[in-house]
Amino acid sequence: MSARVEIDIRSKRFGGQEVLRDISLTLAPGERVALLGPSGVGKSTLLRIAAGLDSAFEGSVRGAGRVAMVFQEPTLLPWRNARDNLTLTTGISAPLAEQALADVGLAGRGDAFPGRLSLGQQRRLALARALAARPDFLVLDEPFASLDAGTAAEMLALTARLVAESGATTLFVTHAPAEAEALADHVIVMSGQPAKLQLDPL
Amino acid sequence: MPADVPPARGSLAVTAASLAGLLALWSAAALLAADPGLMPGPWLVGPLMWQEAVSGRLWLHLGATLARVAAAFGLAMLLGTALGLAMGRLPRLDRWLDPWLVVLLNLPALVTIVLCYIWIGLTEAAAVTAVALNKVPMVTVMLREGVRALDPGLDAMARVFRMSPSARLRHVVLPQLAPHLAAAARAGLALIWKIVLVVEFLGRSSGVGFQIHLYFQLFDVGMVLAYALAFIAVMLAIEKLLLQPWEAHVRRWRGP
Repeated sequence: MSARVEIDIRSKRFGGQEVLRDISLTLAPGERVALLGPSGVGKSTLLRIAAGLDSAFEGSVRGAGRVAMVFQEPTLLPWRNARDNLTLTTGISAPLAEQALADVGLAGRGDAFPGRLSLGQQRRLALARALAARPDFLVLDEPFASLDAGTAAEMLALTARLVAESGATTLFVTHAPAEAEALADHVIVMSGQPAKLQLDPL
Repeated sequence: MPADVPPARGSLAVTAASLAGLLALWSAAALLAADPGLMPGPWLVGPLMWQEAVSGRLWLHLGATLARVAAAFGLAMLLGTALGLAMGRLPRLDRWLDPWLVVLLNLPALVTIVLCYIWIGLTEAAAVTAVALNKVPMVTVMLREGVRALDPGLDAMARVFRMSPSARLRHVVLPQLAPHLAAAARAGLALIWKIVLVVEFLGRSSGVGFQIHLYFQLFDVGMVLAYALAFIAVMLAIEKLLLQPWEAHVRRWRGP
């Protein structure tokens, strides 16, 4: 259920602009790594490459296996109810989907359309979907963005518990140091132009 | 997305009054013309419609026309959607095919019909092909716009979770295209039934268009109007009873 993921990016450009150079990152099986850095430094770009969504770069990503991702936006199918959002995207059965909903505190909400859920609930559903895929490699892109402080803290505790239970190798992007420390074994700081990585001594 | 404004309670009354006004205008014109052969009033056309309905001829010709409308509509929506999807997704294909689309969009319906009849023969296949060909470019253009507006976030989600191509099409792409499909269907139906009448006028021996041709040669304005009005009524019924409920169904997730 976990993968040894080797990310090796020699160069990533958008047009003439080089945003990433000589980035090498290896995640041990089951390891949880947080990427910390200011907005616009290329964290999401690195994450998209790691998740296999962007192949227009020099370098390679190896060993990712089955990937699941929690996006910055919940990115749900608004025309399908919560249960279908789990079954259609990950292929799990309806009873398992109900269980997955209960695991994130959405018990009994299987018939609700995403538009009827609060942002916090939508984020829970997105988390449930990523875990329902039983990933070897889990990628989370600012999963607590634009939540109020109370909801974000709750969501952080829930995410930390479920990610640890899943045992998936996890790469997680944030700009909040407290989130990074709560969720990850290691924190890596990303900075510069083009961006470089640096292990946070904390 | 602005909420769909439900028709106000008074709007049905306004529609009814507006249609009554049209009927009154027609009656006034008929009285002024004072020539039932040239401008028969509603009181003459109504009984003609009844007479054709009772004899069964009206249903025979309406059925023939509707079958052609359905066949051409289905073919055009299928081809146009496929082309629109391909051109919206593949910019290179779009660059190559776009000029063809512009030519086809500007090709008069009459030319397509005449050429289809000459090349394929005076057959049912030629009639349906000619109508569908007139409609395909419009569906393509409307669907291409829809494909260009697809949410890249959902596309990324579908790729990460490795949804199968058919699941992606059915659950991710088509629901986003539903408003564009509905608009294309609505505009398409309005265009297609008019072209079907021309096709029947020029080269078929059944259908509303054929009947209009027949009574045009007999200078029987009453029968021309009777068939035209009957067909308008059928198309309005299809719009109200099929198209609008379907649109409401695909929009249900937006909620009240």
